[in-house]
Amino acid sequence: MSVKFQTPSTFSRDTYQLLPFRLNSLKSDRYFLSTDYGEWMCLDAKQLNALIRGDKIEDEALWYELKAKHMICENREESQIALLASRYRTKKAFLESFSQLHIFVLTVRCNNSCVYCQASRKSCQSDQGRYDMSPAVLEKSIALFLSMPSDKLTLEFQGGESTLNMSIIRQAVALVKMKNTQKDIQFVVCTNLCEIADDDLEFLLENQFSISTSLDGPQKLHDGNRRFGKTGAWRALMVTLDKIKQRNAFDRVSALMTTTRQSLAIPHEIIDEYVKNGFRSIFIRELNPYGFAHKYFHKIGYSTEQFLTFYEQCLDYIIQLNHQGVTFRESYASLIMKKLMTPWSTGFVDLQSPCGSGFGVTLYNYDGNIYPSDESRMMAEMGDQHFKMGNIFESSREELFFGPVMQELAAAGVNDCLPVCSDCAFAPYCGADPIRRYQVTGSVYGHPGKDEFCVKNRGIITMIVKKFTEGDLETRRLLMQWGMK
Amino acid sequence: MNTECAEDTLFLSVQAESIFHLTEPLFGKVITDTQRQIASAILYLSPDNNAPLPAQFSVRAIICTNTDPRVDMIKRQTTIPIVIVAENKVFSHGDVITVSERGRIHRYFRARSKNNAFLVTEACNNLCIMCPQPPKPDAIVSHEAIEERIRQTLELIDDEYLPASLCLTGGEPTMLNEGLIRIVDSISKKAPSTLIHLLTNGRYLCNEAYTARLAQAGGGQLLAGIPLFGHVSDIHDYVVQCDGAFNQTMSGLLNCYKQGIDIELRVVLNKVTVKYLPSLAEFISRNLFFVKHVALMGMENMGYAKLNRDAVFIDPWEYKDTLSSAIEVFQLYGIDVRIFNLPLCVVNPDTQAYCKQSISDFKNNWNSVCTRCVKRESCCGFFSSSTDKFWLSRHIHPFINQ
Repeated sequence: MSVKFQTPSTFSRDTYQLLPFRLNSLKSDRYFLSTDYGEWMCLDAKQLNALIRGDKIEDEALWYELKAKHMICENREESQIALLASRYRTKKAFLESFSQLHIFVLTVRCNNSCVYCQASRKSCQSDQGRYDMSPAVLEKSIALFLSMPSDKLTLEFQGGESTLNMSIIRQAVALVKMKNTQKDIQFVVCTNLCEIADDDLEFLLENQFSISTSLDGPQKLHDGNRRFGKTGAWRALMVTLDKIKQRNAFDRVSALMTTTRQSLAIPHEIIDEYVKNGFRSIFIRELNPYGFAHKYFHKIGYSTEQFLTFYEQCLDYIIQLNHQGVTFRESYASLIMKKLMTPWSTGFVDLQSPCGSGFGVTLYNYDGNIYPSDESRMMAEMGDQHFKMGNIFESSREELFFGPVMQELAAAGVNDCLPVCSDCAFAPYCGADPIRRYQVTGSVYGHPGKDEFCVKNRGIITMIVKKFTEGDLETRRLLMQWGMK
Repeated sequence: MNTECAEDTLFLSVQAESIFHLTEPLFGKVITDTQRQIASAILYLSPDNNAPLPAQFSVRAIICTNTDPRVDMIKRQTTIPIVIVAENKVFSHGDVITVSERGRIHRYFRARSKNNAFLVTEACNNLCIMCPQPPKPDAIVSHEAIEERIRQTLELIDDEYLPASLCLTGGEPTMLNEGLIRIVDSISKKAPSTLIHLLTNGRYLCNEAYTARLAQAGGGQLLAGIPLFGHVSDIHDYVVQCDGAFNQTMSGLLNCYKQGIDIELRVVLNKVTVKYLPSLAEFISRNLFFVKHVALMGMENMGYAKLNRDAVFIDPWEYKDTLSSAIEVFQLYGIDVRIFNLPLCVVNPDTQAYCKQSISDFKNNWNSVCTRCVKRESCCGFFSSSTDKFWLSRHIHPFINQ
């Protein structure tokens, strides 16, 4: 055979061009580089400087990684741009069919009285005619909900305590079943599960509801945060959870915890409480600056730095538990890992760009008003109607979804266009939250770089990147699994 | 109707032991029923077929085995061509074959095989350093003749033998350009539920208009088997010996995705590709997540793989841990991965579940130690091209029940 083969070096180049990427310092001489479509890698200062100077990259594995992750290219090819464009579209696929999470606030009455209540609750005995959603509002709201473009929709019932208006939940399900022929609709109910009647529980399970409840930790902490009757909220919750377990439906239940100053000292006890009750995950959530929490900050509040310390203690403990054979995950970290490791977008509306508010969420209030998120509804309860999109009886679809509120959210809800964010390498994994920023800083644009939204998310993403890149093999594997499945 | 007993040995081609009355090349369908002759067909007279011979033969030719006592009688009875083959060469009803003037028999379509392939060209625009069947120069390949032969073969396949899958291979099938689209179109029309497994390097598919026409011709029947040898052009272009091939293949893959052609991504495991295999797995998972599945394939020690053995050969035993890591990446990302052509004894236990019995029926072989192995039934064995000189692994060992 007279064929002549070329050597490997024939097919390698020495020169390259930089493709657009951003970088953050991870301290300790390491830098985090990322691209718009979500590829990332870490470099040390020497490697980074060589790259920026355009020096020949001698380390073969590094040279390949830079190329494979599209930080650099030999010559800009149309075909590569097509691939990257497809990656970018995939990352932003959550935008394709507009808002998918539709929250119905059925009542603002509640049977719990919580120190951090975000909803400016009314007592159970308050006037139902005034504080509950009426059948007329429900019918109009369901009609708008079913007219939304997405084939997959989530209908979430919340309150107050949503189950205090159980008849409206039943009517809503009946209406959806009667009118909907094609859409895939998932029902979710947010409830403290403190006093739900057996036949109502049966109804929820029969209709494949996901149940989202609250559990702050051990009995003392939970009851301290949430006042309920004589028995306390914790015991009442446990009784209902037992009923659900007896029906083999525990996998329908997920729980949210809210961190108060009292939580900070007992991270392990909180996790243990979740594990003991059979939960497979926890969502470590900080206080929201809405509702009563704002007023009681001096009693239950803490700084973002304190929250980050607490969060890391929880995370480390959960990782340790996994190493001991307990399968358990932290949901926020899982979400960040999914963003870091996969080409997919996530459906998580609190950390998205363009923002989840309005673009991923539509909220239908009991009084017929429409808001872009739960937080903006709470703000309205407190007297600031800034984010009211309109009213179900008065506004057209055009007015609701193309009106001034949505325009403002669009302007402030894309982190590529926000100062500081536009230069931040974490931006592809982070989001924008104009409503929270308006509440905390007075401006929908906020103060990226130093407001609490930024400090918290930058802190958590840094923490997870470090744990993933510097952790032992077992930790790396675990975090990978959290992101993938 | 079919009294055939002996099992088809699924050979691809054979030289006749002797021939009589053969004056021109033959092409036709094989029949085995002596009672239902077809003038254009070739009758295969199985030694097990004891049905009475017809008073008169009205077929194109007759194939007999060299031990058949009826040969002399038939020779006296008729002047139509008679082809004598060894006794272990068993044909099946529905096969489509050619017989050259000198008695060389090729089976274009084997009715009883699950591995039917049409070799559509021997020309290729890559020059892979481990190519088991080195390409021939374009000039000596007549694409018109090949296309015509495939069309004729298709016409002769009985509906009852339409295969579940049919492979189009080369060379590089896209070298036929519009001819390939015509072939795909004719398969699609003749056999609308047959999977068309197109083995291509995908470079020409960077032409989106062409890929769109191919997709239109093949409907949902196409599965493009496209190789990717590295996560960067440096590796891929070296393996295929072509500057720019990586970018073209990547763009071809993307076009298949856009046009709705399913993709089987193929990686041949050799010394060059295994070095960065986990990185390639990550690259595929993050950029080409739309592929139907990924096939990691042990290298066949033939053709250029022999010539370049120093550059490409590696004992699979040496990369078994790398293979496990790569599988873990695919598994985490939820990408279906399969291992082909590697015997179970040279991979890690965690890899065995991904191994497929893949080596085509006509080139499968076993090592002598394999007779004692309890996993032989689920193992792919070896390419018959593995020899003492061009061995596959120094670690072949039987699994023995304790």
